[in-house]
Amino acid sequence: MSYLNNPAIVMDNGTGLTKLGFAGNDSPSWVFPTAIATAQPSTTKKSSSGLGATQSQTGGSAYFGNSTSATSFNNLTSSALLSNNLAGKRGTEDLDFYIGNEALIASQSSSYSLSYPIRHGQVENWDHMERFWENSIFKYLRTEPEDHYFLLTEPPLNPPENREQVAEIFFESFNCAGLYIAVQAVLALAASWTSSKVTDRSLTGTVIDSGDGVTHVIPVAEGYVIGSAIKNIPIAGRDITLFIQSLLRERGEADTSLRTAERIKQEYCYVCSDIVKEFNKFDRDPQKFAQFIVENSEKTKKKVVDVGYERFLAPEIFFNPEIASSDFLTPLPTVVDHTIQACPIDVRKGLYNNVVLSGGSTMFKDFGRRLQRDLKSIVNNRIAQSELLSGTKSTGVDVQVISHRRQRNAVWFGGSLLAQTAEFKSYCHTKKDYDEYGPEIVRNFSLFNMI
Amino acid sequence: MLYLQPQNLLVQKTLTEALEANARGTPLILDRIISDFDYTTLHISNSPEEKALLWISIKTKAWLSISKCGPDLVGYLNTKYDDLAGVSTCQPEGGYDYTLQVDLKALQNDAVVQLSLLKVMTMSYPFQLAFNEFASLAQLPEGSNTTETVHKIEYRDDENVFIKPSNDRITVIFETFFQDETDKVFGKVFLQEFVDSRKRNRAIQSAPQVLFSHEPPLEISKLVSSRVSEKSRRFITFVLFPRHFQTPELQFSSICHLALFRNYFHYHIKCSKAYMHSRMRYRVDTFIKVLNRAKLDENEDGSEETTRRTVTGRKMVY
Repeated sequence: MSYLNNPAIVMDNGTGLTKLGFAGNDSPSWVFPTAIATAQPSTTKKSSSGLGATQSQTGGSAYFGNSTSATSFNNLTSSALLSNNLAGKRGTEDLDFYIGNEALIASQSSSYSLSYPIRHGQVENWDHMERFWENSIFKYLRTEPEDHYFLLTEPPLNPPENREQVAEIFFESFNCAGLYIAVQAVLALAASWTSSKVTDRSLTGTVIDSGDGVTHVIPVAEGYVIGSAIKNIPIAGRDITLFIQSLLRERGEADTSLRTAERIKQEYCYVCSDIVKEFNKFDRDPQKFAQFIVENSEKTKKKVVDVGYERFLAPEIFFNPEIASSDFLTPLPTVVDHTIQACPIDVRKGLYNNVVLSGGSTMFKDFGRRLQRDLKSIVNNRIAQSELLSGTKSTGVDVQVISHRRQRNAVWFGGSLLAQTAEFKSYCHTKKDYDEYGPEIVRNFSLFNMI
Repeated sequence: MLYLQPQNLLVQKTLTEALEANARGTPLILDRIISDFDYTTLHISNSPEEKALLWISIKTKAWLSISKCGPDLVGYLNTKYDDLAGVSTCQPEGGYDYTLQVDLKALQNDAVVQLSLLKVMTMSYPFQLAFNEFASLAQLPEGSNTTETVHKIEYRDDENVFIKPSNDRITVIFETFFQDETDKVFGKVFLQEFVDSRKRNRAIQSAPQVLFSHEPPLEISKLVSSRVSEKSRRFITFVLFPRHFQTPELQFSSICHLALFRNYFHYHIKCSKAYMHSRMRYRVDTFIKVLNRAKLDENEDGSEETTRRTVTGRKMVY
């Protein structure tokens, strides 16, 4: 069958952002918010025609696909069909929605309401999710789901019922050719194989996944997540941005918007090795202070924002949380250590040996190096203590933190890497299998055993 | 409504990004595979020598059958793209059917849309041939102005499009085949609606006439005779009259709509299934609410057995 030549589709639906693309590419084709703007039943008909017009003007070239002249057509059909059949009476509100960036624009008017179908990594609203998928497959990826295999991702500890729901939607609504659901942490491990530090392609390691809302530390042993040992840290990208913003406000900078703080975080922040030394370095060498120029929408006025200690202070809240928060005080390296200590003793060495970073908030320069140093000192202290107590010599534990270039979309990239292999399709469940056994078939997927 | 644009949004986005990056002086390094409907794969990559040169290659299942329709498909595409500044044709990349070379230094912004229409342009060739044949047939005197020509586009494994020009109309016939039983039912309702809505709604009288049948229409009965036995085959016929292809703009929009017909059709089948599913979920939720209301309050009669079991001994779960 000719669909065998089509590239597999890799979809990573996260709480904040959805990453869509084709297997074999080095970056996702589409990255947009996992948001859907649905029409509000009562107000749609009246105000919609005006909205359609304004949207296509404002959207312009920024987001492709704003020119869907959705709503003028809606008016026509609703009036024409009303008298004829029952479906007309109910209207076509279910077809009137936008996803992603378009949803954010559409929600600015009163006739659309915005919602995020995924909460804490798990799908909350299946109606919205189904429509989100249908639009992303047909409109954005332009693929016939019958011709493609799909690789979807799920968070660790996703209940199997959710998997079955996903399978029902993908096999029954979309008739997709084949489906594989992978755990995000495992894909992040696979993505780390691109790093030159990785010598053996094993699926054992600790994944530190830090996105916008929350940071997870997930131990994975031979492709299986050790669920009981997963730990969460309530510090992530958004907290860093807010911390920078508060520093800017304290100093009374010209522009203290969240957007500016975010840009500063992305462009100027780095992790230092010693916070006191770094303060001294800054005081001795004023060159270290940077200036960030805020470009206004009207290019006439330019605001200049000084960037000072927050360059290294902001990412520091991972390692010294007390500088920003008062309720969570455990540094990230300690949490990683606790996580690994909670795992079975025979996999701990492998977990220390392969700490993998994933997600946008781990992109700071030298983040991996600092984590490795701190983690190593914790481990070495423990070894020294146990040697003292037992009197025997330890063989030592190797701590290695791996950072690589694909960290930002590590989960998606790992998926792309696995889905382009020749044997990927043999690991998938096909439509035929589904028809034979029913949705419970997706409770188990065989793992990729990589060379 | 859920309207599918004729151009490939992803190609458009990728090229726009490449153009902007090039203007900033940091050309992107691209090696992207992009997919489109009906077994079409596009590949955008840098030329090996020069970063500002991009290659856009297309491979589509329909290519072989389209190139059989007329004498010079490549020539047709060349004429479409040669006028654009910065776009030139080159030898097809290995494994692909057709390749365009794009010079980002000279490329204009509006040419990006044209480039992202590459697949539709390929599909438009047989339509264009039919338009030309129609024009020449209409000139001929009565009696000699019929033709046996039928262009066949084999765009999927077992689905085809037939285009038959004649002296007063052009007939476009879609042969469809459903793999899924549910799709078949939805599809039938949809197709019937295509036929009926024209009768019912006076506002769309100028739309092309649509016919729907289980038997192959007479125009193509010779071409598909071998497969008549298959029950699930359906035929949708669009009859285009001169008013649908009088001007090049009209021609283009007709082609876009027809080329995307099957995708649009299947998209909407999927959408109606999604709608059905959301109604089912809603129904199940209300039933569960009713069941919960019937639940006995355990505090009132604590003496009774608290877990109830079904006949087979399984626990009742609310």
